[in-house]
Amino acid sequence: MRIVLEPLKQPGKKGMEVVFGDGRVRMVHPILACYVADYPEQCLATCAKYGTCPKCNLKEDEIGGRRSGRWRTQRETMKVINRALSTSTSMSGFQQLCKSHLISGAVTRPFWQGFPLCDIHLAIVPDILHQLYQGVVKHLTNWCASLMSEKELDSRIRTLPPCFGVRHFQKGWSELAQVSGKERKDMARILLGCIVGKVPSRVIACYRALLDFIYIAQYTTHDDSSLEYLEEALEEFQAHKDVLIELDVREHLNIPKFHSMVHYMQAIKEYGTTDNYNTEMFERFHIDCAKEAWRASNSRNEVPQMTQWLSRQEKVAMFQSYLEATEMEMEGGGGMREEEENENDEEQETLGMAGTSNAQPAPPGTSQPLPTSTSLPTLTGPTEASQPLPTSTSLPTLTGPTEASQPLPTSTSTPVSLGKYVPAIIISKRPHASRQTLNNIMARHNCPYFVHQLRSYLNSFMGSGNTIPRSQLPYANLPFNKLDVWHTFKFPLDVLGNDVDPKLEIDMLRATPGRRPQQSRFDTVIVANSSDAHSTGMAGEFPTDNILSSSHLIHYMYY
Amino acid sequence: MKVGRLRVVFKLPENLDIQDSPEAPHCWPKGHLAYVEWYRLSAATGQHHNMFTVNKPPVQNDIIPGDIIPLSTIRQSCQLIPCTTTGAPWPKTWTSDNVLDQCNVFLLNNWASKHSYQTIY
Repeated sequence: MRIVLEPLKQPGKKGMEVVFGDGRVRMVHPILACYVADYPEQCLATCAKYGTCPKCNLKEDEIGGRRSGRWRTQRETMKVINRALSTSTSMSGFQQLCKSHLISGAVTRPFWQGFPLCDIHLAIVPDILHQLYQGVVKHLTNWCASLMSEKELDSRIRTLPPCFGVRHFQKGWSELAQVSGKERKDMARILLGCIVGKVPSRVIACYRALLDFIYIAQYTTHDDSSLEYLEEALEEFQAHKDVLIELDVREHLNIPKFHSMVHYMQAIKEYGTTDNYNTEMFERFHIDCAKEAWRASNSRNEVPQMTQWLSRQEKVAMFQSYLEATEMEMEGGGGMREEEENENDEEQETLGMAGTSNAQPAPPGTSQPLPTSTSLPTLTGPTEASQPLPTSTSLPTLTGPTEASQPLPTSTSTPVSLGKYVPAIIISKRPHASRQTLNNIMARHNCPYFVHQLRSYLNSFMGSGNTIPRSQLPYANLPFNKLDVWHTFKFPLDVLGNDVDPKLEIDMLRATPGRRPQQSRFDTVIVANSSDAHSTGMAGEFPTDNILSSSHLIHYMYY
Repeated sequence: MKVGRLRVVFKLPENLDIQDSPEAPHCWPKGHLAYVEWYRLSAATGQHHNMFTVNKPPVQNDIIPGDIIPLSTIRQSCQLIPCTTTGAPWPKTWTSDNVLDQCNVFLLNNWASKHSYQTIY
């Protein structure tokens, strides 16, 4: 480490000239500010004794507390090591002296010695992957085993309904051998829901506080109030954690990874949000550079093979980017190509925002207002049902010749003009099942009241005075018997808060009938009350009573 | 916000089965529509687990509450976790495929994604 970082010491003091992306040359003083590592590496780097905190001065049996200890400083650590070096006569004596001061004693010349403006203890940053997911969540899931039977937990996990973005553990958790970081995340998603009702409520509160902490710690933007929530979550865990000891789940909670949570708030204040220094990013290289290289070797004398494999991969990648660059030049820009591919790949149609696609303005040529005459031919009342077909008088003017001369706006034409905006819905152009009879839909989608709701929905378009009375509605005929049905669609989630990185998170929903009932899937959704409703928060907006009230049949909630 | 189960995604036809007026009234929405069967959402979150409770409403007047809504009013997918009275084991007949049909009380899982954690509260 010392050898690797040696060339950075001199520039840190005297500065070095660096060419920036804008072409200017600036003087740069590189200093060691953040040290991203997992716990054993942190201990090694800071010379902290294993089991203590690399940032503050607490003994192993004290780190379960709420407060952080006195900060370790680089100078003090160095002093202890130097003193131990000069007074002790043997290596074991040196280590013993160090350990009594919470220093590991494995390192005699730390690499950070002589770095300008550096405090290695301060440079240690929190690590979501190892500390929270592989540390805290790991303990939480392991403790579940002593709180409820593993078999029952497994069966609960198997029973959960599927949901987009949530992994379904087909066999439960107990059969997972080595749990990866991604799996831990998937476990955290469903952990709390699975133990509710099975473990004491204080344990639930304890788990919930920790999960709160984990989720809030990952926010990509923070302000004083969100940091306050972070602190509150930690406080709540501290308040409830004794229950874990009372229930003999754990003898003590002096776990360095749990203690590390104490330092999160300060780290976020000093170094920014945790996604800046998460080890996840770098662990990924471990897979590319070590694991795959290992697989490519024949496991005999592997190091030369692996390095050669890596350098070959690099050459291939470089040549590939060279090819792509020349190709782009030849075609005069890659934009065209992409578009073509998109078209060929899948016929996808992007619709504009809701308000525009539904509230179609009347064609300007129609001189008459909308439904003026008696009733639309569409929903014929029960009395008229005996007559062969609606008479011409009942035909509304809006379907008359004036209108026919003007082409009806197709569903795509209006919204596409909004193309520069973010697409609201991504759905295939052709229906997944075209021209399904209504009876067929009701049977296959297991929704016996679909036609009933369809009637009352269409009734809402009849215009004032023309609506069919509710008592007669069940007997009204629908003017069509077949509908085009789609089974799945995607849409981007509202980007929360920061618009700095408008990376779209896509959500996907299914309403897919299967051949057998087990194969069908109808997802559960959250629906906004009106199109301008707040995109966050559930409270207070839900008219619980409306749903069951009799006025439910026809209501204009959405318009 | 409301919670429901997406049953059908469809479009109203542009042509009707009526000979004299084959074109659909143009006040009908042209976009995609969804038929959703509603669940009832609890007014407040649970004291310890901070999750909303979701109930299947009882059938009233022989009708399951539901609505036809524009597809774009759907905000996000959500996961419902079956919920039983304290301590009771989950019935063996429940499977991942049928639990939404067989169970009546759920918890709304706000831990399913970082997005849902920030939006469901």
